[in-house]
Amino acid sequence: MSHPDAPAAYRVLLVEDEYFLAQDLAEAFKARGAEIVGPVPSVDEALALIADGSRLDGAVLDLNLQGEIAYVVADTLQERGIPFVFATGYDQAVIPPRYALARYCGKPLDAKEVAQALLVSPAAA
Amino acid sequence: MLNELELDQDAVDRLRTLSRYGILDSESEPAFDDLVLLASQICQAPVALLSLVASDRQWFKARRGFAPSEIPIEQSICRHALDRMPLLVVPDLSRDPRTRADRLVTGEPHWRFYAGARLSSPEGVALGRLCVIDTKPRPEGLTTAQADGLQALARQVMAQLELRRVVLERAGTAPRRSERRLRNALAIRTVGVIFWDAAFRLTEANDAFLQMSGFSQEDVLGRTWQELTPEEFHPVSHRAVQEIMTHGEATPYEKEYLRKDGSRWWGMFAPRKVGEEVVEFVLDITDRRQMEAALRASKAKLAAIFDNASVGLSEIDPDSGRFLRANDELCRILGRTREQVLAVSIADVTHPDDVPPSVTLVSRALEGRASATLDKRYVRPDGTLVWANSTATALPGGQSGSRSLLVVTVDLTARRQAEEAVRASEERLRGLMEGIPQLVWRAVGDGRWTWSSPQWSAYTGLPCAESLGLGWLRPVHPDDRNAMLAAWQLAEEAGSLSVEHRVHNAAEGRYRWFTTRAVPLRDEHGRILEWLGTSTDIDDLRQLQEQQHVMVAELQHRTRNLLGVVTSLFRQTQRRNTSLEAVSEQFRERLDALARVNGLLSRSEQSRITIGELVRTELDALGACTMGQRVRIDGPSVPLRSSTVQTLALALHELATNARKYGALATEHGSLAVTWSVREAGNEGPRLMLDWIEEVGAPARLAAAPEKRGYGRELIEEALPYALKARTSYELGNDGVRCYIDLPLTGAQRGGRSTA
Repeated sequence: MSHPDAPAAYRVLLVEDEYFLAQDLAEAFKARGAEIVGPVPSVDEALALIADGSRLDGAVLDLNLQGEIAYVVADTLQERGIPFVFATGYDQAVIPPRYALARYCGKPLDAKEVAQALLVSPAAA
Repeated sequence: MLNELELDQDAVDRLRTLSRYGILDSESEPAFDDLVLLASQICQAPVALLSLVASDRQWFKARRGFAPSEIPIEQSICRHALDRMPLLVVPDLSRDPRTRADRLVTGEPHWRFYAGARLSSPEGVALGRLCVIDTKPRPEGLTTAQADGLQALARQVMAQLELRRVVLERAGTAPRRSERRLRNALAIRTVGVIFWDAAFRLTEANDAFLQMSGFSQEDVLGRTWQELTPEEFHPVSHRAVQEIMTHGEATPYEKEYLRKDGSRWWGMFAPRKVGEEVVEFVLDITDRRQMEAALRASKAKLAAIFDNASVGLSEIDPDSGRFLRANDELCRILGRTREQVLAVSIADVTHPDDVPPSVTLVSRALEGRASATLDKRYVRPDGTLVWANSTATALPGGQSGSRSLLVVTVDLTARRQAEEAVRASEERLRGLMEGIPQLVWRAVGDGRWTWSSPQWSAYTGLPCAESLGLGWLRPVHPDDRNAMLAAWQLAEEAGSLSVEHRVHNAAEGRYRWFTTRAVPLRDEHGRILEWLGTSTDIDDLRQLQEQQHVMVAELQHRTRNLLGVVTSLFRQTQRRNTSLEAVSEQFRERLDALARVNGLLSRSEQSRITIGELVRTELDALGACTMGQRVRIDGPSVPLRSSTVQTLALALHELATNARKYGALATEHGSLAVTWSVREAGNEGPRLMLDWIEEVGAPARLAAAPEKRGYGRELIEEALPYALKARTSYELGNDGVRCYIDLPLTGAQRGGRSTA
């Protein structure tokens, strides 16, 4: 999946419990030259990927992962200064104000739009 | 006529001079009679008269040949040119224009000739004439001897008069002294004295009168009473004049009099006729009259106040207790007419139980200087009772020394009713405050409680006494106390208090949420008297609201997620097919499957969906129930985690559809067995093991799947392992599809909550 000839590729972590959605997102990012980390469907797997030390330039985070709320992942990303997009079915109003800098994309997702939101906008955090 | 030409001043001088001689109306005297006789003989005339002219008449001191002692001034011949000629001779009275119309000339005794010598005082004041009269005209007049003789006799008359005056003044000291005494008496400063002549013209006034009337002597002399008396008092004066003329004296009378400047003053007049004159004594009673008027006005005012007062007023005889006087309001209170009230005593109208205190009230009022007061009941004639407050005060006694009481009676019915209403209202309010489920309290400005309802103590276990002041803060959650105090600081300016906080419930042993509201009670100036507050338990409401929030958020999440899945389904279907027909058919079937599983999910809020339900629902949708023994479904009842249901359902749908279109159920002889069991291996937790085994029977019928790599196959081989951590295998053998799914039943590795 990696592009050895493009070491500077944007590394994006995808956290999405819906398989086909995760695939769509991955395709959209790959199409824009990004390198995919994941995708993973659960909090634990996401945390493990963040914790392994490899570089992350951004992340897409579904809030509800098989019934588990993923704030802990968001907090960790925020601590590390990794910009991310909430890709979720929840209303934006539900998102706690401490994530004011995070982007928000409501479901149903347009994978291209999500990719655009993260890649084109100036790096947050 | 000529008389009117006479100057007033001459008349005044004449009258004054005549009075000095004291001759008018005196008895006849031989000396004067002799002189008249001589005049008659010298002039050989049948009539001779010693005539003096008073203000209104001609009076004869001595007469011969004429009976009346006086004649009215109008008939007097001597009045003509009284002081002009020493000797007046009229040869024929009937031809002289001045006299020819006179009654004594035209009628009996038909006088024709007149000759009169002037009587002059030493000061030159003419007093009258010594005259001779004949009934025959004498064209030749008097002889010189007769004229001389008549004038000599006239001088003799004056000599006699002078002599008489001197004799009177010297020998008769009495008249002189009396004159002096009179003058001294007239100098009195407090009593006005005025003299009127017979025509009621003012001839003299003392200084006191001039002082009273503001006139000078010159101004007032000669004026008539009509000029000095205001029109409306003319009848009074006229009556007095009548009385004087009849009785010589009049009853003293009071009237207003005019001053020189037109203003008025009150006088009391006491007149008496003295000879020809009338003397009148006058007292200035203006002050008394004014005082009387003021007193009358004051009395009238007092009576009006008494009659119209809005409190009952009465005057009581302390001995009999009877009403001497009563005003309208008292009559109203007692329910009686004034006549009825004045016929009874206090005891008659007082409730029997209140008679002794009423008696005490009267005696206390009589003893003390201060008033005594009592709330008591009066009985009306119809038997109804009236509550009233009575205050008795002793009134100062009159000359007789008899005392009376003033009693002020105030009807208390309205006040008693109002008090009763307030009491009832307070009771209702208290009942309300203690009956409602809210915790009720009262406080002053900065939140210090002054009262708390029993509910508060029952709820918090804190007695009212310990809750007063700021004691109520103790059961309030420590985190909420500052907010409460801050709210109180803003309350006065805001005009209300509204704050949510937690209060410790003694029964449950936990804090519950409350909303506290308070409104200020203000006086008529808008100042806050106190606060009335309620604290309402909103804990259940808050929990419900929170749940509702969560549910709305979840609903939103699910709906949007579902839309995401639908979108993804469509994309997956679309990318694997070239025919629009195929896309639309497959998409519709998959959408139906999604709808079915969501229907199951929405019905399964209480009990979880089992794998059996899921399998049967999908197969029944394809008509498997009509296939009898060809389809076998077998396994225990295994509840599924709801987060796994949707993906699993979509996978089963793909298996079933493929079986129906291309596999075991597409032939008449194929069979399908779906069996499952639960196994627990190692420390993985319980797992569901599901086998999907088709037996086609006739391999030739097995058509190749139209898709490049089937969506169902990717779902089973990729999505289930990815999303559900399942282990799967999918084989397409000659006998048909064999699919194997091994699914963990306990999903969430960290005990996170499950949102069903």
